Amino acid sequence: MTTLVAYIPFLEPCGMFGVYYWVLVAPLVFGIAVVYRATHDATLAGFWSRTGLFTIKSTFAMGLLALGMYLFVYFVLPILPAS
Amino acid sequence: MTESGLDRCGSRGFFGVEFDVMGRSSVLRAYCSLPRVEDTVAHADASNLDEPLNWRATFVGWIFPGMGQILLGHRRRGVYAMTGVVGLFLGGIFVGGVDCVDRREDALWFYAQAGVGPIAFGADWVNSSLLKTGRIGELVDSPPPFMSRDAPPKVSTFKSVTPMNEIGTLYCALAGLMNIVVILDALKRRPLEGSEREE
Repeated sequence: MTTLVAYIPFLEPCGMFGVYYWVLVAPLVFGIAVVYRATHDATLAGFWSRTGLFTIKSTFAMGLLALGMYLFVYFVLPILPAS
Repeated sequence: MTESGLDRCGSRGFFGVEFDVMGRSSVLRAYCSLPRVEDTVAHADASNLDEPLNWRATFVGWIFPGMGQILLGHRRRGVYAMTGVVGLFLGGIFVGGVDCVDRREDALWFYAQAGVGPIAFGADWVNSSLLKTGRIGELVDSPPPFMSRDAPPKVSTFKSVTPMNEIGTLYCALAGLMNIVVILDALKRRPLEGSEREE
């Protein structure tokens, strides 16, 4: 509680995420998607829809990569012969 | 996947198909209703190569993200780019603290962060003049350097460590890199004239 009260935004790191810091990848991808769509598309029709879809697809793809890496490290690597 | 989905989407969606799970396919259906990709993606145009480069808009875009596009008349596009870049940068400082921008300790990261422009240099100034001097917070001893007899350096109690620092640094660096994309876009984007200005 003391930490929360003493927290000064922008001057010191935010400690509210704890071990769930990985969720911050979603707003990161969203920010990238906003800039990408603003510069890449010839028209801005459906801008936020496209940005949202870009965010969802990219985040989902990264999640799949993480899952693949998890499966590889925990299930594939242990069964490989060690010489 | 349904036949009707194929008929409705045709070539209008990325995939040209519609997945129908338990009778619900809202996401892809919404996507199929968007304009075709070839109508929205800015293709390289050979006639555009002869147009002069917008050096003024490029410089203004580095001074403040998105201002280059606004100067060229692409107001909405500039505001979107500004929202993305400044949002990413401020988000990084919010998550990791202003210590995420450090020209001396994290020089390589700062090269990327400097793409945001004077905002990044301002954040570095705040870090070095307020936090590192102890004007805000306190300076405490840090662990002594490995295999060194030098006195341990003093660090601010506001210095960020842990994954929060890494993520904040990454946010700020990506903001800088994305602003370079925005700057390059302003360099070659066709200026809007008269009634065209204001998309």
